[in-house]
Formats: sequence, structure tokens, C-alpha cells
Amino acid sequence: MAFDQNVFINCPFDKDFKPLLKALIFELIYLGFTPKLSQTLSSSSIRIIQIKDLIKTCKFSIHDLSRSKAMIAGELPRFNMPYELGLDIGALEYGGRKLKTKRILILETERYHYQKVISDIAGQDIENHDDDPKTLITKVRNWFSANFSEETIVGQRVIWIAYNQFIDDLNNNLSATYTVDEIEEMPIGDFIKFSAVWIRRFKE
Amino acid sequence: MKFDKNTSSKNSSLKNSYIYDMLKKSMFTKKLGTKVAVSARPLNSRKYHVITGDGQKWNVVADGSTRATRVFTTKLSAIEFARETAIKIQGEVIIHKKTGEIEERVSLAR
Repeated sequence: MAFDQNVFINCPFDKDFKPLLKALIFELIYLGFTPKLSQTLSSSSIRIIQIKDLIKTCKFSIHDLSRSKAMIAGELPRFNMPYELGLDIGALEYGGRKLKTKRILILETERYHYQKVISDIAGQDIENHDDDPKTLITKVRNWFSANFSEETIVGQRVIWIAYNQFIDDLNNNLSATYTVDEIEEMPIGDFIKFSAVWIRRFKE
Repeated sequence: MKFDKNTSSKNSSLKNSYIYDMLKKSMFTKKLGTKVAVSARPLNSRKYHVITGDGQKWNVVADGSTRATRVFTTKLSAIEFARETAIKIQGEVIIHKKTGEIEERVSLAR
């Protein structure tokens, strides 16, 4: 696996987050990266072992902590995301030479929310997306641009326009076979495959 | 532990989990993938997309292009322009939500 191209995504998988996750996956593929999610792993072995293996194979990581709070009254916040972020930072801090080149981006909904819940991550690359896919695309694109200062990274407008057209083509072509809900709830692994073939053709 | 998909659909916490996603039936086939990919570069596109742009602006974008044909300050005026342009070629207007998802398709074929 190409360590330099792999991006570990640690984010919520709920319905509300899906528009953000889809935009993020599309963007990464558009920029030439390979998204790696625990959601696409086999369920046959212990998940956390697989996540640790994923972290080791990815130079880049994007962690979204926007659901690390109660989304509705009485609900508990999710702790999986901060836990996996801790594992990733540990890999960077205590890992070998290759792992010391890791780059980590932390996303949240509101600016400085992390200061209330996990202030020890101050000093890391932290951006907010306001739960808006277009803002997320811009922040992630700019982060990669800062990490590849010698290269010109395609603009966020291009990615956003392409993403909108992809969503239309995906829904349009699958609607004869699947319902709107089935398309909406498509497994992330399939969304990655459809994105990859569409982007390859779009860029020709 | 064995999960029954039908039973689990009633359980929102499981439905939101990665396990539920893995239980879902795979949709990608080579045939469907090719169909979706081919539409990325249509030979004769008749579609115009209304897409959110920078700030509060709205773009009208011809299908297959990565540049806006025109930029508007309101969504309504962008839709109006897209309709006027698409009607000349009996095309289609795709109105997108701010999330990129489809809000409405308007066919202007007579």
C-alpha cells in the first residue's frame, strides 16, 4: 500500500454526517489520495486491531470530533473518535521514522469547541467546517495545499462543482435499479468505488 | 454475536454504526460503475446545474464543466437563468441543495 497516498478517516458514520463524509471521500479521491475507513474493514476480526493497522499504513489522517458531544438532550457524546485520534497521535509521537512523517488534521463543527472537551490537542492542525460540505472541502483542500507547498493543488471550486455533478450522475444512473433511500444508504465502500471510476473518466 | 438486519433496522444506535454499513448489500457492479463513469463526460449534455458558490452566491454550471457559466446573488435568479438556457435546447436543470444533494430536477423537453 502507498503510505504517502493513504488517508485515514476517523469520523462519525451517522446519517446526519453522511453528506460531509461523502464530500470528504470524493475530495480525497479527486486529489489523488486513497481514503481508508474503519467502516470498510471486514467484521471478522477485532476492530481496534484493524484500526491500529490502518493508522500505520496512512501518512495522512483526518479526524472529525464534531460528534464528540451530545447531539440531543440525554444522549452521551461519542468517544471513539477522540480515542482513535489519541492512537494516531501516539503513532506519530512514538512510532518509527516513517510514522514520524504523519500529518494529522482535526475537524470540528464550531471553532474552538475542542478547547471545552479536549484542550490537550491545542497546537495540532484544527479546522471547523460548520457542518457544511463545501466548507469542509475548502478546509481540507487548503490543509493539503499547505502540506504540499511545492505543488499546485486543484482549487476547491473545481472539486465542489465536480462533486455536485457526480452526485447527480450517481443518483440518475442508479435510480432505475435502486430507491432514493437505498442510494442514500449505500455502503461507503461502494461510494468509494463509484467515485473513483467517475473521477477517472471526468479527468480524461 | 449475530445481527439480524431487519431487527437491527429498528435499533437506531446499531443503524448508525459501522457494523450496519457492512451488513448492507453491495451495490457496485462493473456494469453500474461503467454507466456512472460514462455520464461524467457526456458527448451531448443538455444539463445545467444550479450549485451553491462562494459566499452566498449561486453558480449555473453546464454539465461536464468545472467553471460557472454565470454567477448570481440569489438562488432564484440562478434557477431562472438555467431554465432560460436549458429551454432553448430542451434540456434539464438540476437544482442542488447546499449539501450538494439533489433538490429538484426540471425537464424542459417539450
